[in-house]
Amino acid sequence: MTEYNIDEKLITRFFEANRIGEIEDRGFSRRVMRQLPVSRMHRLNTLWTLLCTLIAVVYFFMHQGTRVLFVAFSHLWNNFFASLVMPEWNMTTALLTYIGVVLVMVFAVYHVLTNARRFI
Amino acid sequence: MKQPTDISLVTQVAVFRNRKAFDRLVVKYQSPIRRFFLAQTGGDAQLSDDLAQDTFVKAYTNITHFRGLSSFSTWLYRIAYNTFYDYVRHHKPTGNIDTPGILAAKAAHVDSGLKLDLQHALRILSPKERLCVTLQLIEGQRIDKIVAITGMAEGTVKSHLSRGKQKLTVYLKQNGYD
Repeated sequence: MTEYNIDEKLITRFFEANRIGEIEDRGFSRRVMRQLPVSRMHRLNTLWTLLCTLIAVVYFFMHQGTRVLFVAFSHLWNNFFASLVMPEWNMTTALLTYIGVVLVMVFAVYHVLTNARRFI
Repeated sequence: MKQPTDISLVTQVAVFRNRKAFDRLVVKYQSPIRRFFLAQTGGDAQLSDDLAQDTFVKAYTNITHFRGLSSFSTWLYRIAYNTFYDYVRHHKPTGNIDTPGILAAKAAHVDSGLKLDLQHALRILSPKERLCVTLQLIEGQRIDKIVAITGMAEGTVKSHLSRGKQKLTVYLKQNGYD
């Protein structure tokens, strides 16, 4: 066994010739991501969000939310157009409110979709 | 676009539990970790993937313990090494990681991602020799990194490398490599 000294060049050449290249992913990382545990806090957070959403939806329909929303939006819409046709400083409140409401809705939808995707 | 560093990805995972950031780490390191296990298991692709999966799940669960004293890859290799060590212990109750031929039972029918010559050559080494040799010659790790990954003393690593290379020299010369 000890009749040979270490032949670094031979070993390097051998490992170079038998090099294992990059291993293709082929769904491996997807499988790992599916195995990751979801923390208890995160689960509670999701449950709390769902509960609040449910209460909000029930409350909304119980108090004829669609009618209230329709009236509010038609006022906002009219004010918004009025502010575009006749720009006045005191009309900017309606414009800002309108932009604010749209932005909040966009972010809310985005947040719900991202959370939902995480649990599918 | 500038690629985020490992540290920034780890921070996002540790602080915000950002799964997308962890996914990027898995995509980046899946190949070296699976290759590491392929070498340790004698080319058993299924077992390697299972152990690699365990490694990443453990890394995610314990990511807050990563202190940044070594690089993320060194930390990940250390988890991989411990995962393999645990696997060997649980599947070989009477032996330890130094026992040669721990993979002998599986050797006959492995689903190889490893070239046959390399498989045979690695099989003549003891697991610790194989570990040090593969980390250096396949993964290209420096001795100080191997020390950090395995937790062995530098002298021990050098001695495993030396013995392993000696065995490989004999094996290669006896099998017509020159």
